[in-house]
Formats: sequence, structure tokens, C-alpha cells
Amino acid sequence: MHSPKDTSLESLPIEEGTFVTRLTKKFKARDKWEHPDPREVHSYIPGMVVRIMANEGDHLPSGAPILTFDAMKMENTLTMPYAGVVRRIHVKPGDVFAKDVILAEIDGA
Amino acid sequence: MAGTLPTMSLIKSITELRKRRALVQKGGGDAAIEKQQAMGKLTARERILALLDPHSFVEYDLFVEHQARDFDMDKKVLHGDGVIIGTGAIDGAPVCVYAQDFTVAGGSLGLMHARKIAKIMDHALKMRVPLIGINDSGGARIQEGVNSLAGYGEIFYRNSLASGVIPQLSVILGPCAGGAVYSPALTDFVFVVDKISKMFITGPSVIEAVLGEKIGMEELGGARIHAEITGNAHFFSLSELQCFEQIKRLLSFLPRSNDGRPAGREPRAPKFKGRIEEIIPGDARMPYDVRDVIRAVVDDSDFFEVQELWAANIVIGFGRINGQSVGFVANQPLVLAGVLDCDSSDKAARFIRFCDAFNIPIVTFEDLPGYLPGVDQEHAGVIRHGAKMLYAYSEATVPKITVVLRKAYGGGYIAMNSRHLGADFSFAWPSAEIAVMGPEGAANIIFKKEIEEAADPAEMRQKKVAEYKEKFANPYVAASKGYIDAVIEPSETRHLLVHALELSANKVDNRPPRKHGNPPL
Repeated sequence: MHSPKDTSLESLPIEEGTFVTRLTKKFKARDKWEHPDPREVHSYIPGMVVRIMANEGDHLPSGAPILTFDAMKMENTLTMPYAGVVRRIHVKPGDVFAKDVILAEIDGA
Repeated sequence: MAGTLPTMSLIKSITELRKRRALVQKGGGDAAIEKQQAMGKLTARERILALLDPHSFVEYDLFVEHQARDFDMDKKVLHGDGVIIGTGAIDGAPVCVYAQDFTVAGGSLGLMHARKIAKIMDHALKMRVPLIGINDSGGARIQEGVNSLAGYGEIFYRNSLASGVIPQLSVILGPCAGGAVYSPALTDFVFVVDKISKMFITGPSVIEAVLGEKIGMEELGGARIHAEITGNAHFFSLSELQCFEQIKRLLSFLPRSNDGRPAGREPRAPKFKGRIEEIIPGDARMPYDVRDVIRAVVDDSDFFEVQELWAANIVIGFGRINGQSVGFVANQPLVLAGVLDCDSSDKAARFIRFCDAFNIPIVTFEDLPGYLPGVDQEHAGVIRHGAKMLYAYSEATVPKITVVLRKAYGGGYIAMNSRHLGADFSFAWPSAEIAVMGPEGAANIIFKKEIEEAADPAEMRQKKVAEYKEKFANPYVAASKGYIDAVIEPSETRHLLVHALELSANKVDNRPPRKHGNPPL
């Protein structure tokens, strides 16, 4: 039996009650859920910006290209998820970006 | 001719053979061997000799040479084409083995190198003996172009064909990068050694070039990462020699192939001398190490754990009951309260399928509060991951024995080899709590109104939880319906496991014919 003094033990509350147990590194490092902000356009893959097609202030229809980028040996296009105004573009040609970073901010029309 | 002395010319050719052998056996030569040793690594040949029984190694294809012609490759001599293959014995039982030789062109894989590996794989499959692959290679030999890709593909194909027929062990004793990682990934058990093993699909230089993220090989795909974080490795050790001991130990629990059963041993009583009923705290919220329960029932208290560091909320591994090899699956209340989640479900499911493929009975010890709640788990696909375990247990036709030690709530109860998934024997300790959910959760739902309307809701909740616990959190409700065969005293556990295994020695469990099932991979 493990004595209550065992410092590796912590509390884990789950539906069936609170249990005394060890928490794993992976459990502690898990991502907390955040509600996605529809105004932020995130990268879905790491890449490098090739061209910016949209300008800040542009009113664009859904599907209009915002920028193209190089990723996985291909040129890819990032498009407007819905019709709206381009408020800010956070990158410029040549920028290298990771997955899931904000590339642009948009607003519904 | 019998009785006559060898002629002078034969002696001459024997001398010539010895000379040739000695040259090729040097692999990449003294300088390269020195470099290998400086990295703290044994050479490919030393590894094979350290792993196999003395004088048992028989080498094939020593004189194979590469046939590449582009990029001045025709001027290069690569001894054995960078890989050693052959047969030998471990504890007297035959095995097939290959070891990539990093001293020869960095152990890079060209066409003939791959053909040698494929040859020994075909041999292992045909002869029905385990295959051990020692990986130490810089990857594809770029000068050989698409031929080296073909080589990898032919290895993966054979790994897949041999899966479930012969045990396949992969030993990572150096780099194993890019496509090369998929051969180990397809095999049953992967061994890694601290500071020596490195596995990744894309290396640090590519990651830095593409993402600007700086990471070393060790943090990206070192032995510890694969043993603890990714779950790609099954056995972690601190030295190559310790790794070879683990391989020998593992093989002692396994049959040569799916045609047979693991060799039995002389039965031995557990060394454990305490009282098994004292291992588990009475309070269902308090932890204990479930491995102590396993050690209390297995021969010699000898339990050989698999994937000890990864998804430690479930314990898997091998032990013997009355001399017979058994696979254990046990919830571990000491880690994450023993919950099921994506990783622990994957871990258990693959192990169950291994045991089933190789005629190893499965004993399940159950004590879990259920599945781990959380957005991360749901979004990571805990539904399909969890389903793997249900599938694996249901599909398995080897003897399946379950002992409920303490908590068996809800979906967790069903998943942990319940009677309903085909358990042949289902026992419960008197401490078992088998219920649709834990007392707290159940009371909150069933007595919602009473609790809300009470003058003191907290007090009423406590009362109702106690009431529910008293009535339902025990093994007798399930036993009254025949879902549990017997409620047993903890001290009777080993005896009943022995009984169950003896009784199921000739178990027949036929399934409808099909090409294969479609588990939620």
C-alpha cells in the first residue's frame, strides 16, 4: 500500500469521484480546450509564405485566395473561409510558419 | 574421399576461403569499427554473437556484393553489403537474425542489402521460427535510387505476411530513420537502448529547415521518447547487453510460431510471502501497485512487464502460472487512477492480439473508474481507440480469465474482458464494485430530485451515495445474474487461475469464416 506521504501522488477528479494517483507527464501537458475564434485564420500545416494576394481592408468573397505558401513540396493556397473583410495579415513573403499559428484576421461582411 | 588426406589444391582453396571470410567479416574495416566503438556501440557481428547461444550462429550470404553502378559505386566494395544475416539459437531454440552493419557505408540499405534481409525473413517464415532484426542504419542508400525504396517495401511486405505467424522482434541499436522505421513498427516488439537508439520519420535538420524548430535527435526520437511518450518501443534498457537479456527473457515466454504453445516450465510457487488481501486499500479512491497483485499469483513472483513506461495506467506483460506462459492485462490504480484512455486502450489491444495470435492465455485484473474525461481525449478519438480493446478481447479465442479486484464501472466494466465480451472465467473479489457507474455519479442521476429538494442537499447526496454503494457497489448483483462465475477470496486467486488454465487447455472457440475482421485501427 502507498502511504499518504508518497509525494508522487496527486488528486484526479473524474466523474466517479476524486482518486489519489500519479499523474503522467503527458496528462499534465495536455492541451486545454479553447473555443476557436472565427476571425482568426490559422495555418493548418507548417510552411513558407510565397505570395500575399489579399490586402488589409479588402472585402473578399468566400473562397477568395489570401496567400499562397510552400509546404510539403507543393504550393498551397489559403482562402477566405467565409465572405468578409481582411483586417490584418500577420506574415510576409518568405516567412516560415508552424502549424496552427494565426496568419490573418478577418471579419464577416 | 573418406579416409584420404585432402589434396594440396583443396588445402589451398580452404586457405583462400578463410582469407576471404576474414576480410569480409571485418565489415567496414578497423577505422570504421573504431568509430562504431567510440559511439559506445558494439559491431553488428559482436551483437549477433552476444545475443545467440555460443557457437550457434550460421551466417548466410557473407559474400553478397552490391550491384550499383551509378555515381562511381562500381569502384566501391561494401562487405556483405552492410548487413549480416543468419540463423542461430537462443536458449537452444532456433531463431533467424539480421544485423545491419553501420561500419559498412553507414549500414545504408541498397538492393542486395534488402535482398539479404528478405531472404532471412522468408526463411524464418517458412521454418516457423522467430525473427530478430537489429537495426543500425543511416537509411536508404541514395546512390541506389529507387532500388533501395523497393528494398524497404519488400521488407515491410514480409513483416506483414509474417505478422501473427512468427514472433518478430526489432532491436534499434543506432539510427533508424525515414521509411526504415516502418519495419520495426510492423513487428511485435521493439527494443531500444538509452542514448543509442534513434527513430524518427523526419530528422532534426528537416524539422529545423521547414519549421525553424531546433531539436536534438535524442529529444526528437531517442530511446526514452519512444519508451515513454510515443509508445513505439516496448522495452527500454541502459546498455546493449541488458537489451539482449531482455530479448532472451521475452523469447522464453513465447512459442516459436503460431503453430505451437510456449514451452512450459517446472511450476514454481510465488515468492510473494505477504497477504494478498492487504495489497488493496479498502477505500476505492486510494491507489496501490497492481503489479504487486500479479507478483502475488505468478510463478516465482516473476513478472516481465511490456511497455512499462508508456501509458502506465494499464499494465501488460508476461508471467507463468503453474509453468504455463500467460499474458496479463491489468488496470493500474497507481497511475491516472487506472483509467482507460487512447494510449492505454491501444497498448492493451495490441498486446491482447499478440497473445491471441500466439496461443498465450490472457488474464485480466480489473480495477478502474472508467474512461478519462476531457476534450483532448474525445478529440484524439478515444471512441475508436477504446473500441480496439473491445474488439481485441471479443476476437481473442485463447483462454480468457477476468478477476475483478475492485472497481468495475460502466463502459470500463464491459471493456475489461467482461463475460459479455467472451470471458471464459469471470471471478470477483469480495471488494469488487460492479455497477453501471460509480456510486457518486449514479446517486446524482437517480436521486437528482430528492437531492435538489432536500433541506440540506449535500447531506442528502452523501446519504444517497451511501445507499447506492450499499445496494449496488458490490459483486453480488452481477453474481446473482451469472455475469460473475464466482466471488472468491483473494487468497484463492492463484488456485483458481491454475484451475481455469488446466480446464481450458483444449479450449475450442470457432468463429464464422471470414477473410479477416476490420478492427478500428
